[in-house]
Amino acid sequence: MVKIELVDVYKGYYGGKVVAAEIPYLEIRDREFFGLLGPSGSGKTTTLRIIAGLTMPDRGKVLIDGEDITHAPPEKRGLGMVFQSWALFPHLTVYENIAFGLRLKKVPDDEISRKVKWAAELLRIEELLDRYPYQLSGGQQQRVAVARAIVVEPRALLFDEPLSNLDAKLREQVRFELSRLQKELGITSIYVTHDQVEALVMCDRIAVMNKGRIEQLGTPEEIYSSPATPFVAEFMGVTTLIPGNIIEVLNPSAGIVRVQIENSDITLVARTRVEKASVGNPVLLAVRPELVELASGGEQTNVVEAKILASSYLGDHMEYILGLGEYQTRLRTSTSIRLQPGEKVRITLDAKRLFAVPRQ
Amino acid sequence: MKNNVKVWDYIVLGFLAIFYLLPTVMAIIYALAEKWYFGTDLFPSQLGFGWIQKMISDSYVQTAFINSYILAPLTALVTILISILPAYYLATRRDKVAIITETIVNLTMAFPAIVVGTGILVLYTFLGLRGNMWALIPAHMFFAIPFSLRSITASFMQVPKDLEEVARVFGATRLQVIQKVYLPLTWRGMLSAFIFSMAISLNEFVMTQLLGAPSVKTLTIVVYELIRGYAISPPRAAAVSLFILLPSLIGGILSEKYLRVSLSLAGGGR
Repeated sequence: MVKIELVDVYKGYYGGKVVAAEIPYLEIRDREFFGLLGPSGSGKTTTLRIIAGLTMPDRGKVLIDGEDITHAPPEKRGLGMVFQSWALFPHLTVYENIAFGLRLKKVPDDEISRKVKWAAELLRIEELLDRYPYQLSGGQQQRVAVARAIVVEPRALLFDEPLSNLDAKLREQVRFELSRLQKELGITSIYVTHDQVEALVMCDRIAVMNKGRIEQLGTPEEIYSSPATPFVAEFMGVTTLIPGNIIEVLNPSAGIVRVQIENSDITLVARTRVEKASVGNPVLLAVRPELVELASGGEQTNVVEAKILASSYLGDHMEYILGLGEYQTRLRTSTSIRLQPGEKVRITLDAKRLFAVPRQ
Repeated sequence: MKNNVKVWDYIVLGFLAIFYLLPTVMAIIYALAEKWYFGTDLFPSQLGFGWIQKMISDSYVQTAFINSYILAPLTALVTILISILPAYYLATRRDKVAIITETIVNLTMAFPAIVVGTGILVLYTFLGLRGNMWALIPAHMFFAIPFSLRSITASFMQVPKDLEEVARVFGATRLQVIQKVYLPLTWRGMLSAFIFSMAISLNEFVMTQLLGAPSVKTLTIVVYELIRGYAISPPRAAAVSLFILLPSLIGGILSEKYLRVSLSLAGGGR
């Protein structure tokens, strides 16, 4: 069992003017694939480096299975790490790169050979063992970096944006491979990324970070469908955030509320966080294009009138900009439906999936 | 306008070439001049290796040659070994200790050898080390270390920090990081520092004269002895000076070919 905990961890720069990481408590569970997600400068890499021992926190504790390793040097933590640059040793062959950690542990040569072959087979790089890093493609280098990290049988694996230097197609392929590998080996893993899709696809739980702090911690579904803050909503790809106020609590235990859009008579039913479901609370309605449909006539709730402001042909579908009161949102339809700018349409917003993000 | 710039470029380059190469070329011509009516002829009327052969067969010069070529590589080797840890510190940290160390080292490069030599002379006299050839190694290192340190520091700074960090995570101590990551990746810088240090030791005169005299003779001392007093022999001195010049020349050519980056870094510092 390998559980990692951060307790009251703080790291600041420039005399505390910049908060690099401030985490009251964070637990990464045994065998979990945990994502640290956020934009540049959000503190995700600092947090990972604190766990790795490469950055010393100003205060707080790092525990692995209850053992305080805050002041232990990186070499004493028993972790494996894959860097953004992959950091392969240019003077060593692929074999020696993978064997690096084992040689430091003075593992006998025959065992090193066996383990390197095992890791190489797992990552499908057996034929590359005699090559040098400069002779490898980006994808191959990434595999070598992963092989080097798993071969030492680390207590936990740390990934620092390991896919960001790969092209989009390869990245997609490697995502699934890494995910499969992590499940197969059952190693507690922490994965730093700024790519929402990567985090959603790969991780069991995600911490969304902003300005050094965790804004939301939850499963990919929770983070995507119930963003806790406007920042999380925007970061998770919500293109439209419409301000409004809760005017009625329909189901307190489920957080179902009625929201009136600001400066309009339009009201919509939405979900919100249960603890924030109180009349008068300001919210932002997170409207994703997939929640908006043309009303067919049979709907009871969330049917409103909107105005087509602009239309775009996107090959497999049409996208329209809609005017909803003084705010705008998007509607996607099949290419067989053609609406003209200026035309008024009745739309419906899926009440089960429409989420009201608390503003306070 | 463009042409004017080109002409000026050539003038500047020509001036630098003459300024730096002429004295050395003169020394080489002098060493090879078997007949030269100095003051009458612009160039020697006969060239050959006569003076060089004479110097090679001279046992006095042979001893000096051996001494110089024992001292120089040893000085270079110890200099490199001593520079590695401070260079690692300077390359990886920017704290007060690093800045003070750098300032001190840079200052010593400007210290007059005669002042430093006099200071060490007092110390060596007290310790009974005057005239001891091995005691010349630390004295020669005094001026070799700043160059070596700059060269190795510059090379270490080129090593990506990720490589050190990944090595640490996989179990390497700082010493193992230096041994397994920095040294294999910076051998060019090391070689460059070695060549520099060797050249400095071969060229060292003041320290050797002050601390080694009268028992330790090196090539620079022999050159000095051949051009002083009544029985001066400039062609002999020039021939002996070639023995000092040769390794520097070979090192320089090698450096230009294989170690260009390291040398330019060494010169540029941080």
